[in-house]
Amino acid sequence: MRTLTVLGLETSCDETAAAVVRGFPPGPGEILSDVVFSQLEEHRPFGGVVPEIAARAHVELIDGIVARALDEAKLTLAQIDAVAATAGPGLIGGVMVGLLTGKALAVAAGKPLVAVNHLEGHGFSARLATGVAFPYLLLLVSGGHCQLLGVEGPGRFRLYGTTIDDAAGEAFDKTAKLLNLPYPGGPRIEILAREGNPARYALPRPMRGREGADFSFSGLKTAVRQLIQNNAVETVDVAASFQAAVIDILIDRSAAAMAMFRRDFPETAEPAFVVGGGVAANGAIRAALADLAGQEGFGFAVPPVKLCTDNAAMIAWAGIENAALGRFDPLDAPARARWPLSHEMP
Amino acid sequence: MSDRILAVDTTFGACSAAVLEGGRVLAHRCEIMQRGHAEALAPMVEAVMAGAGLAFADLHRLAVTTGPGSFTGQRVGLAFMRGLRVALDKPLIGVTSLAAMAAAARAETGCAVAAAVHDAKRGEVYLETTAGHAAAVMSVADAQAIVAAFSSMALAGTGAALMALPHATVTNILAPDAVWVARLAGIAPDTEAAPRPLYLRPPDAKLPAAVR
Ligand SMILES: Nc1ncnc2c1ncn2[C@@H]1O[C@H](COP(=O)(O)OP(=O)(O)OP(=O)(O)O)[C@@H](O)[C@H]1O
Ligand SMILES: [Mg+2]
Repeated sequence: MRTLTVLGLETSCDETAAAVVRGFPPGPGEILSDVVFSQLEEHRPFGGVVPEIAARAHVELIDGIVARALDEAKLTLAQIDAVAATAGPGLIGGVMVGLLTGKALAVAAGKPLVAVNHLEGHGFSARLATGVAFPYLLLLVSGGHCQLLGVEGPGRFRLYGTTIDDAAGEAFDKTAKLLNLPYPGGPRIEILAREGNPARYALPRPMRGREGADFSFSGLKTAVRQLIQNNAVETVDVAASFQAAVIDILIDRSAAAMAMFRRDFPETAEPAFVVGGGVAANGAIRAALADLAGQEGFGFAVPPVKLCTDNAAMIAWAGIENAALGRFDPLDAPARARWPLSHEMP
Repeated sequence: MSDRILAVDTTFGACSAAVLEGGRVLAHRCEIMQRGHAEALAPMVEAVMAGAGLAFADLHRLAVTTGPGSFTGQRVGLAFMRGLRVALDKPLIGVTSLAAMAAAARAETGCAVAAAVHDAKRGEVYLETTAGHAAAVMSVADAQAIVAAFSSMALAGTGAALMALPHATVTNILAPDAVWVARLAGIAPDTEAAPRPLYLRPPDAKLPAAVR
């Protein structure tokens, strides 16, 4: 069987990462190495990611992390089929560092370059993990994005819904800040929510039942702020009530998109519902979405937690998906701060 | 001295790459640009390597400007050349942008001393001289005091006009050229470690006052 071995680089936010993955579409793939350095300590005092600080850290770290990823995979560059580097969307200073490093590795080793869309990384990581077939319905829930998309392959996405304001991960992080939880807050909310009563506080579910499959989270955040300002609240109950609201929103909007997907792909007998992005690391959300898929007659695939948040294995895999179709990029490929998966995007 | 060196610069308003052998220029490209270094650099390196008729394995040394410069520009060159360093396992030498500019200005004018002065805005300049003043950020007045101590000198950089020095020979060198980066790297000692960016200013980041 044909396989490709690809080195992936990821520097679009606050993780500096490199990985080597081997495989061929539809997957699953074999992760030969997966090195992630999280710049948490660098950004913690600021309560969020500072772009210039992130870029400064990436340029000091990425070359050593690449060397380690190759080392752990017990491979040299000569044994790699292609170099895949995140080219956007993300914090442009960091994206440039990873992309330029990737270009150097490619040109020095005489290997082709794939300039990867970070969102394809999140969107295809379930294939890396499980080999789920195209087309599928994707819920992309990350720090910067909340979208429902029909996915047919690299560069082939139909947008069913997107957030009109905050992303789901952003809502988690902002709620965590309101609760004075240390940065990064999203994962803490999940832990606290386990101890709390999700029915304690009535919070809104914006857009629920609305036509289409768009999302909105800013009203939810505002409601949490008012709740906290005007009442002596129990933190665990706020966390649980907030998370329950997010789950209800995700379920409602995903169900609406499932109907759209079925209309678009009537010939797909056993359609699959796939989740990706950092928020997909949340166990309660994973469980609720799996239930929804079961009820609606969809298969369900979600990557393991480590592949949900930013990592380079997913970038290497997106590189494999593109390389398998001969989709490579020239050495003058640009770094992009914005890069929508679908051109129907607002 | 038959070392073959590949050097690049992307720190200021130009993008350049050069291959030198024993001080002789085998291939050289330089384009004036305020932005677009991240797109231009890799094809430019590929072009000078082809122009020199060399494979990467034929190189002995790599060289890059570490700064000062635009933060993004500094990292474009360094990320690329540090990537090459890991891929090729060759020594990478860092040279300051101002040293490369000053060396070029001295050679062009025949002056004994040269200074590179970059207008860093906000009433400040980045300054380095060939007479032992290491790259630093300072007020325009402090820079004027440094250069005033020389009876004659060559000036390079966007801040040259700010120096108001009647005896100076002002060149039109506003950015480093990779040829001079290679020449300075050619006489530098080998280093094991990868060069790091030289930032003369801290990142613009404020500690949070309160949650928005
Ligand atoms: N267990 C969890 N529960 C809820 N949210 C989580 C959990 N773990 C991570 N997150 C959220 O996931 C987000 C990070 O995900 P990811 O790394 O995919 O985002 P990003 O790369 O910053 O954004 P994007 O991929 O959209 O560019 C953060 O907002 C974080 O709070
Ligand atoms: Mg991400």
